[in-house]
Amino acid sequence: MIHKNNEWVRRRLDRILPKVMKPGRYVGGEWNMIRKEWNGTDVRTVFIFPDVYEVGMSNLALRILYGLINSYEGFLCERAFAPWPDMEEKMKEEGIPLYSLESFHPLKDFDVIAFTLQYELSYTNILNILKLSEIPLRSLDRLGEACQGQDFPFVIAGGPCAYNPEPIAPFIDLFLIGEGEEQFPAALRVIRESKKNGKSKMETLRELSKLQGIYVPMFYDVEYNQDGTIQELKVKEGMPPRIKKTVMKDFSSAYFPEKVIVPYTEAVHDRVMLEVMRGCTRGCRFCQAGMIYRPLRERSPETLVKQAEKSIEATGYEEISLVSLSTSDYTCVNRVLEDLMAKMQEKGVSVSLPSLRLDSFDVKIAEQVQKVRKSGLTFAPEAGTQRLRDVINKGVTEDDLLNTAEAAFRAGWSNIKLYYMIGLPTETYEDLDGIVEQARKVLDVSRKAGRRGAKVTVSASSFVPKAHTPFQWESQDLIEILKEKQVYLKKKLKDHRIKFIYHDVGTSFIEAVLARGDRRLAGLLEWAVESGCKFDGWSEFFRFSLWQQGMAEMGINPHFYANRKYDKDEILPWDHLSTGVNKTYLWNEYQKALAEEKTPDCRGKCGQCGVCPDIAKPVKFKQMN
Amino acid sequence: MFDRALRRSKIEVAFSEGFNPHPKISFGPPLPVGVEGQREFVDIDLKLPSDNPEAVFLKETVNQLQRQLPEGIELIDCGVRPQGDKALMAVINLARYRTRVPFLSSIGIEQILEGCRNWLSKEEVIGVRFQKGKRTERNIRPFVSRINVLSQEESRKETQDTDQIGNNEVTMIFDIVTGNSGSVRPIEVLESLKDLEELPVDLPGVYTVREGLYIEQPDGTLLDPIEVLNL
Repeated sequence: MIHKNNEWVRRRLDRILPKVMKPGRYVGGEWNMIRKEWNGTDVRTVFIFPDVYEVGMSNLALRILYGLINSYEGFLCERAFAPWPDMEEKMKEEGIPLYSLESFHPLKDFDVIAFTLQYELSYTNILNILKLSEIPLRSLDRLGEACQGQDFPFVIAGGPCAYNPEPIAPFIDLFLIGEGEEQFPAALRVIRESKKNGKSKMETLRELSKLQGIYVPMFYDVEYNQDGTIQELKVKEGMPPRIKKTVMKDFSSAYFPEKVIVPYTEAVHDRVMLEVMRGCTRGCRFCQAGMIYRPLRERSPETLVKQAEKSIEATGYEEISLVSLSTSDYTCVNRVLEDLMAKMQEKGVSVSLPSLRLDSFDVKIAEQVQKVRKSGLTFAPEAGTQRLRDVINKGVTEDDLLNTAEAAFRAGWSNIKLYYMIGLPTETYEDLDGIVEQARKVLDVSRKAGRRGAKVTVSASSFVPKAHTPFQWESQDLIEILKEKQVYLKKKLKDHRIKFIYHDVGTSFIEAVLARGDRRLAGLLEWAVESGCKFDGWSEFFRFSLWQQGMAEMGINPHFYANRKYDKDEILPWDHLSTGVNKTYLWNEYQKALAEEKTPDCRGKCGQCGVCPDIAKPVKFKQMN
Repeated sequence: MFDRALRRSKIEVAFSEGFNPHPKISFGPPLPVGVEGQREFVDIDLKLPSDNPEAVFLKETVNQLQRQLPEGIELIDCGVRPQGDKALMAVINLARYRTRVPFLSSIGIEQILEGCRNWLSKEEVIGVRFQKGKRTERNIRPFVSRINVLSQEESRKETQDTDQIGNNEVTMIFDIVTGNSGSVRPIEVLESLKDLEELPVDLPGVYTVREGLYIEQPDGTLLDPIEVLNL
């Protein structure tokens, strides 16, 4: 048998690259790529975003951790992504295993294979990547005991979905719960020591489980009741019964990558991303990010401006985006924008803000951004009536929306995109009518503002209840009901000035199954991958009928996960993982939602969620003039 | 890629007017996917400093830019195009491709030449293309100016990596008309040759480089956009 080393892979690739779409996805060599010496490096990590290159390269976690790990002596970090199906087919034909873009080493040659879990629908890609790398899928099959004393690489994962990783728990050796900036290098140091001392993987995993935020699923067993709910989580001796997330206490001075990789093939977010803050204080009850990234920590304006200048110098990018969960809530947003504009305009560099909120968006910001570039504006009222917005604790009013829209139209914008969710708890058709009315009112306002030919895009996604949110006990609407709602809106929104976008309900359904799923879904995922499911987040590849067949064959009732209200007293599959937010706080928030009661932004009045000050203290900067 | 490299290099470039100014950079005809370019051209509007002799400035600028270009992109030569010269895309009218063509069954060079002659003698050859899921038909014959077939000995002589030339393989040179009114890719011509002349081309094994881009002069000589400047 030929030994498939990196040189073999590189040569072999030349035969297939001219025949695939966008070969730039598969060759690396981009500006600012880091290729460290392979030999003589203690621990070699490959960081994998389990989706196509252009999507993965837009991810901030990849940018941060790639730069951070490579900044340490003795560690190297390379990248891999899911090959697009045309490439996968060619790779299989040529017998090429999945490899890293820096050195073309097959994944199997690394010490650590690290996945970032950004959305549930990437799970099949994770398994497919292991398959393409000729690595056994299940953790237990990768231990030395199972394979002639030869341990396979550590397969680890982190990111938002690691807060309920149970459906993929049997495939992952360890999960990093929380922020990776301090924890990831700490884990690598443990692995380095083990490697030096010739420790087995099993021994190393025991060692690693002592670090905060590290969850080694093979040390936990789940037992189920007759009715399918969880009876008990059996914790192996010496393991923590609850794993608490890690948080970077000093966010402002934390590592930030300035020399980010500049792709040849255009990435989805192909620009400098400045992370202005982490966390969000709004407390929207459906939002997982708003709960898991607590507390709020801002970065100082001076740091941000410096980072911006260095980043542009190192990358040559023509755009800077100020990113966070809610950038217009950043205390010094105006000042940073002003400073950046002043410095960047002559270089032909524009500044943009994603995901604006309605109430804190003011004309001043609109005009700031407009000076350089005027793309469409996106707002997220999320629900069509004040009643339902109170239920989800989205603290914006219709006046906020209309005033902002008017200001935006006056400032020169002509396209406004409105994001909504359908199928939210307690939703009625009145709430759907509210969406329609709102879209119309925005158009009315455009006329009032003298903006002719204005267009409104209404996007309606389907509500998916997520772990660690007040709605974690809630059910998703049945597929048929969601479809009816979509059809209803489509009919009511027939207007040449309104574009209506909605999402495939099958996709949202599978997402809901996985988002609140448990370990019994692992078999289904294996089945799905064997049957060819991959890129489930892409409508052109999502095969709902195949998933349905799989669930039938594996005896899995998807409604148990997606369409059932979980009981207050039942053990949730993710109860042993802690975001720092108390379960009672979440339950009380849920009850307040049903009573249509709002909870104020926690910057004004602390809601006692449990995060501060134990996990970390909130950090804000003063607005100065 | 070039505008980012230019921004990193801090070379002063001219920006377009308007809301969304971008550096004035233009290219010759785009390189087809999977084809290697050996001599491609880019036109960049620079601010010429008055205090620096042109030759020195050019050399410095090229070095400055080269340092900011990723592996595999080398600046080979440069020249100054007069203000107001037409866009590269409008003046370049011929592309020369060198293609390694493997065959599925044994075939003599005469047979290949015969097939090409036959094909070239046609007035119209319909090529089918799928773009963004749409099927389009067009006459590809006018885009093919010349086809040359090198014998295996000639191929071996001219290719550096001699060991890669297989026994059942020849090198073909395609001179293809290019410009604003469209062009054709060598692989499309080979598909058509396989189809119409029954040449047993192993299409997935074809490997193509674009050797050069030219402005074909009225007398038939080929000059590239930099050579033209010395006329």
